[in-house]
Amino acid sequence: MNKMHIVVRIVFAALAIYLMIGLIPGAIGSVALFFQASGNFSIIWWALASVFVILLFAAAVYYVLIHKRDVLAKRIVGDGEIAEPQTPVQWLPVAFRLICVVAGMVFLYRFVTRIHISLQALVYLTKAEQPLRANWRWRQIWESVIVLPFAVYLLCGAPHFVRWHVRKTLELCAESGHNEGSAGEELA
Amino acid sequence: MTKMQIIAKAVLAGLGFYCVGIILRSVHRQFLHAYGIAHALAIIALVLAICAVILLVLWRISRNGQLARKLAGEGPALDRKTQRTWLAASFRLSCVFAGLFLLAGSITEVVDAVVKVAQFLPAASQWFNNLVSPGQFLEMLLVLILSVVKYLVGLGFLAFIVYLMLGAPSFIRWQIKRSVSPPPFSIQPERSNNE
Repeated sequence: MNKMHIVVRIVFAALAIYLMIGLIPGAIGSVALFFQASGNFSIIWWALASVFVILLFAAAVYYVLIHKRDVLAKRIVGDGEIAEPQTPVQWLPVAFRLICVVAGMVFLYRFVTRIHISLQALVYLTKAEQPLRANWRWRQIWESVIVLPFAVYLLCGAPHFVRWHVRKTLELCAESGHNEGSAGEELA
Repeated sequence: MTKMQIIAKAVLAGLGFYCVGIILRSVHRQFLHAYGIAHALAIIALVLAICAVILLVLWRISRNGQLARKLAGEGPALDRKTQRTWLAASFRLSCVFAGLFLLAGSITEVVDAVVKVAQFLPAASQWFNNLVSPGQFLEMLLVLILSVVKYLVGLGFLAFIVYLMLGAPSFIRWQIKRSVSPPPFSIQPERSNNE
């Protein structure tokens, strides 16, 4: 295990704590759906489903980011036997991949914490509503769903995004070095 | 400049950009519910005040070297080439991270800004029709100004997130130019006539 693995493990532990704490308002919102049910079984079912999804997400966060974080760290960094990185350039792909996975988890968390809002919107859509209000409900659902593709792409490590950023960073380093070289030559 | 100082500078810059994004997002949220003259003047004044705050934060970001030195302490300085590489890598990482975090937290505002930009032309023709209607000129002018500022804030917020996600290249270039210590001025020894 090298430094990169340790950093990834620390980041995952911190992220797990952040997400667990952040799930509390979403869970409270889902439980609040029960009080709005007033005997309506469809709302009760939606509320149960919402609580179930949040609990499932919490369990998944615990399992992946705490219990299996070594496996995930190896997948992000590579084999545990690789040498210590000597230059920041060797850190770059791992660092970009790590922030993409972290951002992907945050996107997924946003989706899960908005589930009760989407479910509420779905429940009210089934009732006869004014068109303007129905549009607003659809928009709430759409805003929750649009987060999912971002989350999936980032959780997969966003390979194109990472490759592009690494290439651009190296170009930037080379460019600034070249500029400075010419400036140094002019000074001399 | 040491490695830890560079990392501290980058983290501070990322936090500063995140703060600017949060401020822009709050203003944009306020604008979503702002209609009429009563809101117009108050909100335009608020925007001016917030622009001043944003400028202050950006100024602090640009001059965070002293704070970074306090946070990270002293140590062996890196050579110039390594400094450049560390600066480019750490600043880019912190900017992309701030951009992704802002996008994750403000998907509603981003969707709203995109929808508003798409609806700009039809809405603009409506405003000008209202403007040329007799009477109520001043009121319509204020509403027009409010609407334009609302669009600009939404667009600015969107552009800011995109810029951060692209890695803020011009900002990093400027930071590298500013932060890398200049080469030691070497005076070439004069050759004596005897040689």
